[in-house]
Amino acid sequence: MKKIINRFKKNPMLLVFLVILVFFAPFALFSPGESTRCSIVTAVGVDKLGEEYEVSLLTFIPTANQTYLETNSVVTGKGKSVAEAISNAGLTLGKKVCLSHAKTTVISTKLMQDDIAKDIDYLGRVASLSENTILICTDNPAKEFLLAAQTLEKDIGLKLEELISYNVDNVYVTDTSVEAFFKGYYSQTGSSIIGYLKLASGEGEEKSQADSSQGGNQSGGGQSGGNQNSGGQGEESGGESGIDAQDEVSGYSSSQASSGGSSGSSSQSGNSDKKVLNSGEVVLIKNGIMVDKLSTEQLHGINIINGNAIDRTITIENVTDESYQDAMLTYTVKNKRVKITTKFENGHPIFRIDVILGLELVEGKEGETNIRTNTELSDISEEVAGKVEQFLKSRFQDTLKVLRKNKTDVIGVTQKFERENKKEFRKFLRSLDDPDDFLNFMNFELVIKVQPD
Amino acid sequence: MKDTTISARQAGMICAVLVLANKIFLLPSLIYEGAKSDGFFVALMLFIVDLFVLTTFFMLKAKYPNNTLNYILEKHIGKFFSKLIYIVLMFFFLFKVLLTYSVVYAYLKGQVYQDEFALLALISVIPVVNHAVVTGLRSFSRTIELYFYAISAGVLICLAVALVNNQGMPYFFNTSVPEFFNSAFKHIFTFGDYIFLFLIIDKIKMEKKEGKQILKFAGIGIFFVLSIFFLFYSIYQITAFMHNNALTDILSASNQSNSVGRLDVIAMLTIMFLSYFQLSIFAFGFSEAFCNVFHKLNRAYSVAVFDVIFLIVYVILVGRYENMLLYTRSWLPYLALVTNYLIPLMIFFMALPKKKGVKYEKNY
Repeated sequence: MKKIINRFKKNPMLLVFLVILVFFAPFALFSPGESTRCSIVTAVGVDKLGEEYEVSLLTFIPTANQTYLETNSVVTGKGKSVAEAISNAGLTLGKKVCLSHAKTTVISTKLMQDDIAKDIDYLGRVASLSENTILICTDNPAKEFLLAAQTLEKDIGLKLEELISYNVDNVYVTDTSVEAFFKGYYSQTGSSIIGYLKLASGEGEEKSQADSSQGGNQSGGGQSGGNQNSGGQGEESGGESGIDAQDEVSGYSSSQASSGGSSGSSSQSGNSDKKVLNSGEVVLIKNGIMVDKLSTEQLHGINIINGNAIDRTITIENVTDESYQDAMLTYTVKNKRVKITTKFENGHPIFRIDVILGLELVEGKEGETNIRTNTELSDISEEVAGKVEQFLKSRFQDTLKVLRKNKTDVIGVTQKFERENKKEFRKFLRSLDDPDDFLNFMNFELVIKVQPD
Repeated sequence: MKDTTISARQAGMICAVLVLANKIFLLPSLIYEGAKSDGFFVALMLFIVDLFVLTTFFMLKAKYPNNTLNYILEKHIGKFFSKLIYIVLMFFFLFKVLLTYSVVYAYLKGQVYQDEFALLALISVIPVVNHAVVTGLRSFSRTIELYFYAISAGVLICLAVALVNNQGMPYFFNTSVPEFFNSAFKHIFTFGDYIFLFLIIDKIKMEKKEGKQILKFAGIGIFFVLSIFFLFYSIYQITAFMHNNALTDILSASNQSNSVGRLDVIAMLTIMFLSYFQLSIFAFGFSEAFCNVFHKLNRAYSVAVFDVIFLIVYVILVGRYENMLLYTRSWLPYLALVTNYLIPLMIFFMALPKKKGVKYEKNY
């Protein structure tokens, strides 16, 4: 004993350690498990009912299970503010609401009739919610969306966050997080872009499945299917048409509600036949208000100048050159280099985009027969390059029209000019009656160079 | 007699740890409110001024290689003013401890210990800090030396991940000159940490040109802080005001880094180690000043007094860390004006050679 006391005397730090142990060990030993105190929220939905907010939380319920299915539940809470509503949802749950695992925030288009920044301000600031939480909107109440999303995994083994993640990486290819929304909102132009997912009822499901299969047939037949607009444009511009394989609308049906069920004030009745439809659309937001919707083709129009957006497919028709006769060729963008430069010429701003595309021929047909050459080493003729260029330029122009109409700069024109020609750009803005409308007075030069991968 | 001296290398590491104090969580966001992304230049400017203070330290050390600060001050301005300076420094270091503790507590409460309360957290801080002060500068300097590279690795990992998340250059040159200097003034209390070196001037063993070691590590600390500022402003750009924990936030700003689970644990561990050292250094600064005001009382007394004053001020005056931040930007800058600039300026004149033409051996 004396030895021990002497050891403590010689090393007072041991005493400190003992004191800390005495205070903290009982807390640690007798405190309940984290999952019994905290609810694991994977998605947050915000709705407004009159003057009150209704926050819905898609919550993971950790339960022993013999399958790989997760049990989820949608819990709601109401309050005068989003923070209060989340806190009230905690009351329903009987647990503390933990947002660290929330990867998705859903808002309804109805909420977006007014400035949504004030509605989701809390979500932008709360430290426990990751900055990269993806913000999406839906045509139905967010609560219904989360109820429908619940069934995704049960029916087709797809989690909502996986679907969103797929869209972010492969369809939007741009930052559509809560953080990115606020960056756009607080920027000079007040413009942001976020993802859009629809909900369809049972009837819509059937229709969508029909559309989907129809689209597939049309794609197989070399037509634009779900992209009839672009097909039409193609015809107008000399019979060309283009379609990206990823453009097709896919739907996820849900036959019944998941086992998790809802609690609190949420209800699943009437939602069992709703399903999430992913058509790769996005929504344009100006000063926090939704101003327009971009189709997948229009979104791809933006992504032409996005160096990260590769692996797209481009289909051109009526190709006749030294190798092919009246062929339909499908290329995949294997690599892309984008260089954006800004300058002023005689006081006119010029936004020049140089795009170098590395294309690989992946499919081709001459009339009704497949092409009988190895596509791996195929060259790109001037005819093909011209058609690809024309197709991409026309798609970019279409998107630009929408952006100009809505005065939404979501392609970073202002940022680029602010960095490179700040003084001249500000002078240019001052010279306009409506500086917000500057896109209409901006000259865009899109130079596309196509080369084999 | 027990050796209480530390090497120039250890002093340099203390400098680096001090430079990181209170500047890598909330400060980039707070400065952004006033100076936008030019907050980077605010920090740069204040660091440059701090480097002049460090140069003054080298000059003083060259002139008085083995004397205590107390001796130097008494020699030039007499006992009364010397004590007055020490009292001012006591308050300075006390509020530095309060600020550091408040900010770190708020950070850890938000990130990890949501259910814990301040006094319980104090139980894990005060004994360690007390022990560090009582055992003396030499022992905790050696501990810092031991952990310094682990801390540096933590910061470097955060910076490397942030580089991946980087989204371009911050928007510079968007503030007016008054806004810029107003913002600089509001945050000077967070800077000016090199004054600590003056307190331990007699305890730093500096052979020929060994001052370079101090400069090197001070430079590393400044590089870390400025890199964090730069990356924070380049990642968050115009929403920097919405993010409170720069070191953690630069880590968790992208989908890629977030897919590696809770990567912010690296930032948390780094911050925890750093905070213990920073609190110990500031508490030692208080204790050193206290011992020079009350010559007859030894270090154990100073620690007891520190604990009592710290607890009283924390519970009554500070309470919430928001209050501490308010003080930091309202009246504490005036205290910092004295400690960061007036006292070093006065010491600069003391460090000048007595006669023209006399040159002391350059130590850096």
